Amino acid sequence: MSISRKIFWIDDDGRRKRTADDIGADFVNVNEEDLGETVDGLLKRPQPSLIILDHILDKTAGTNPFFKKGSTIAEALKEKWSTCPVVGITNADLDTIDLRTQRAYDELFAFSHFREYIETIGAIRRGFATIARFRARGPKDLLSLLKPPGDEIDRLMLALPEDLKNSFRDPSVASNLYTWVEKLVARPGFLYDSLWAATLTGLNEKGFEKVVALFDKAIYKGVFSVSDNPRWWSSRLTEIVYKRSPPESGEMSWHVGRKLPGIKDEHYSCCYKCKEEYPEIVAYLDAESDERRPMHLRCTNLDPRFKRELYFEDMRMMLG
Amino acid sequence: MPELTFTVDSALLSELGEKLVETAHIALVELVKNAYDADATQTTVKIIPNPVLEPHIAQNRSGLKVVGMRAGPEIHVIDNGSGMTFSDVEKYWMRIATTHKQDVKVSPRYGRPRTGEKGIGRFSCRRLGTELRLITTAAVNRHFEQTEVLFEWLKFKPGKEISKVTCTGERKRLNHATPGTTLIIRGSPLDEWRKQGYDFLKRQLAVLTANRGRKRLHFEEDPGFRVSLEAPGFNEEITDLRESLLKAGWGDLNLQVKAGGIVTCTLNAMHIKEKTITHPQRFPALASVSAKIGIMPTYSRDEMRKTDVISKTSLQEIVDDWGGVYIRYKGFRVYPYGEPGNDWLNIDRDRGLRKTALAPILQPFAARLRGVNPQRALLSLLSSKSYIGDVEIGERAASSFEPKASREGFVGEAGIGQLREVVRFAIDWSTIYREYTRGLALKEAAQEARKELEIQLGEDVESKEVVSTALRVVETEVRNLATRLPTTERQQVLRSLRTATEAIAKHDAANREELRHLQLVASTSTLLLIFSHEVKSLLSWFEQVRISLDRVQGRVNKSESDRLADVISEFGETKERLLQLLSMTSLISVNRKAEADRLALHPRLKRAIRCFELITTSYRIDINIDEVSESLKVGPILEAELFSVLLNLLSNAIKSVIAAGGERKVMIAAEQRGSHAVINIRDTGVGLKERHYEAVFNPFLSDPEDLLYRGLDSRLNPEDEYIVGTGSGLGLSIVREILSYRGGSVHFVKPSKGWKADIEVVLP
Repeated sequence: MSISRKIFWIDDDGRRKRTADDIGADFVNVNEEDLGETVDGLLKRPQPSLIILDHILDKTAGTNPFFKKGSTIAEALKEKWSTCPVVGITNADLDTIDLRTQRAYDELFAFSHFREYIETIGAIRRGFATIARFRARGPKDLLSLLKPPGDEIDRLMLALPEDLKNSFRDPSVASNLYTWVEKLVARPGFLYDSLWAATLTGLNEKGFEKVVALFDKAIYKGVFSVSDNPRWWSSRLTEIVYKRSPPESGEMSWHVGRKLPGIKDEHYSCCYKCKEEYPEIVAYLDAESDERRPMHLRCTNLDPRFKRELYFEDMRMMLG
Repeated sequence: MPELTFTVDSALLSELGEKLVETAHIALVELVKNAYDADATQTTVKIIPNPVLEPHIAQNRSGLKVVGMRAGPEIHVIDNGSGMTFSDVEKYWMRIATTHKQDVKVSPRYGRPRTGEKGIGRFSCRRLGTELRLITTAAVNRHFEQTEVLFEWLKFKPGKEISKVTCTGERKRLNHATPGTTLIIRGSPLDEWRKQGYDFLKRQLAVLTANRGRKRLHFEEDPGFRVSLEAPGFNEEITDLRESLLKAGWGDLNLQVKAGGIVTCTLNAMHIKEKTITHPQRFPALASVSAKIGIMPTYSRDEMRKTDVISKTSLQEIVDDWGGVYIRYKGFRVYPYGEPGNDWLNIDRDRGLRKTALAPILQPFAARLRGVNPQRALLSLLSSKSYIGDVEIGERAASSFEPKASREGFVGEAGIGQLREVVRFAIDWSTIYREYTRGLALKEAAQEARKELEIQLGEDVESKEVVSTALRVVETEVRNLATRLPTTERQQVLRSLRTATEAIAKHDAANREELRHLQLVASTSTLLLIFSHEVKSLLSWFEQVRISLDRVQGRVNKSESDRLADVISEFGETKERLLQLLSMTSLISVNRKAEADRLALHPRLKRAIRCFELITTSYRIDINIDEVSESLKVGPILEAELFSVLLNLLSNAIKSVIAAGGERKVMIAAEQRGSHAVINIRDTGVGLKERHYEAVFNPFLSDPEDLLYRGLDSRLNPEDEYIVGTGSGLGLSIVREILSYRGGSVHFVKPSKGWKADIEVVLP
């Protein structure tokens, strides 16, 4: 099947056309239009590289309640264009949309933050196109798309979800792989964000910024990676920091990280709870908060909101 | 040494019957339990009043002979259990308290945990009448053996050994028969059956009928247990007691998916009678699916429609052992749906996540019902076990579901996903009504109390006059009684009466005034939600403008590009501030979490201060929080409550420093003192005289010396009036209420040098 480079933006709010133009998408205005017919017409065209879909389509001409939700249209589009990513956008609170509906899309974004997601949308588009061209001969081939450090492949294989292990040739593989990469990015374990990376190297985020260039080789550059919200392979971070300053007996990465060039006292990390140095982990402030700080393991306990997962860090929260 | 042998006297039978089985109702329950333990799936109980009243000599409870009427009803207990062989009857039937049941803890065929533990159920027969006809059929080596025995209990006379009494019986070998046992009991000397006892029987049997089937390891699949009950004496014929059970709780839901996929839900429930809703979407793949679900809150009797079928205790037992919604596929149960620990409807998951908001599809409906908050209605969702019933997947829908060979679930998620959606829709819809009726019930109770008062007084009483009228009645009655007392005591009583009635009257007046204000405040919350929606649209527009500017920025020269970058950044900052305020309004007005927790204070304090950023910047107010420990946690308290406390106290401090003029400083300190966190908010504002330290916590008395609002009038920019300049007069009283509920307190303390006011909050 031929895949065009086009992006379709299906929406019943004509005001969004300008944004569609800004990101180079073809705007399909379904306001007072018959959605079924419009979608039918679209499906006769070559498969686009990405579809952006408004979640609430209540200003179309039809009365059929099936065609009032982007999620229903997403299912129909996926049936024909199984390798095309579908991104939903909405002005509604995401937590009022149930998970099953959310899963109809490859990603669902709040439109009020659309600018922040433009790069991610680009990464989704590129990632799906890469996977569509890629002929995986086995699950290990799939992992190569992540460009992982060689010594992480075995652990990644163990952590790879069953559906990806068994259905690596299925048309849904891109969607499933995107979901899994999202998890790798969201939950520290294989990959660390800047706060975890800084804490691992004994620095605060300002300190880590000073030496971030040293860790270029640890940056995740695999499929669906984005540059404005980078992640680092945790094993690579340790490897680089130890290579630059070999540890003495009993020293950990957060000790030797402080010996990196240009690092001063003000760049050292300290535990948010006890104010002492060398925090080992990042933890939430409490079970209601989404704010995280570096802390000692001993200054935290398990956060009840998260389950423990093999190969991933425990999610913890400040004691007290 | 001589050997002694002992015999059992026939009197023991009546002793056991009378003493161990206290009432006729308990006796009959024991007999049905025996049927249950014999793996019966259906049992019929008949209580037929005896139309012939014959004079009869009987013994009363004290053992005295009395002349009574042979008036007790004839009892039939007919089950389709495994029955007994001739040898079973011979060996076990008359053996008192045989260890048979104690040795075998579960029934042989379905592995049911035994219910009649003591092995005395059969002697209940003796308790129920003077004559028993036992007809029992059991399978024996590919044929059936039927045993019929007539027990004439009067033959078992005191002084006569049991082994010396013979009973006539018959043993038959049959090629075709249905196993089971029939007990026909006649000749009860007294009619002990009253409504109370009959209801007791129904409640006990209802517990047994809650068994709607289960698979137990190493046993055949248990299809469940049904009881039909005929009791013409009570004008009752219940073909299926389980049906009555499901209709006995707060409500029962019926769901039907018609051809074409139209989903109709009907709810019969307390206070609302019958209500119907149709799902706005169609589910053609589910056509012919139906469900019957009983909604069984266990918290109180007030939410039970038929207390003759369930009691608080029996319902708890039913919910614990048999709660949950099962799925049946063409009549066969599919596991593990509805099994303990299985949450296929995601009910317990949502409760665990403290999900309070309804799905958008139900929100417009909920918003129409008075007193129901669509964002909080799910707080009334019960645990998955409190929904008891079955979902039937009929023939037409069967093609959308493919059960696994083991009948352990379905292949794929498609069918079950849709099924979950419609059943949850029905349950969530019923939850909205439950939330609605709770408010309704309180109102009804108040109305009833008012009507009773009207009857007693013989005059109309307005709703708002109920408390004062009731007080007048109490006052008059006490005064009348007091006239009989000696003078000193009478004066004492009248003094106490005056003090008490005045206190109640004043408190009532204050409450009504507070309620009036709260109603006004609450009415603005709808506007706030509309406004929030508008702000969200505005934020989306901000985002669009920024994206367009980003695009333009790349096409213009550097100086223009820099200017555009500043504009984009300003847009970004404004958007962030609005987003923060928006998230705060939804946090306060739409409380998502129902459970209090320990919360870090520092980040919340920073967030609350940011809400006043515009005003603190333009009036150069310095808010210092250096003395707030970053690691300090407070509570358990709801996040919304903590913000409410902080925003109210900060707002007061900010207003005060603006009103005072001069140095505008607010300093917040917080530390752990023993088991409590102590927060001090000090300011350089107008101050408060010590004599008003307590009074300001009374509603509408926040500015006793009129210093605050007079100062604000002269110093506050009228444009800023809406931010801090006006007050409901309820802020401090709300703060005190919240803290007191959470085991804390709030009071003013004498400020140290340099400060004009210091309010101290103590929290666990």
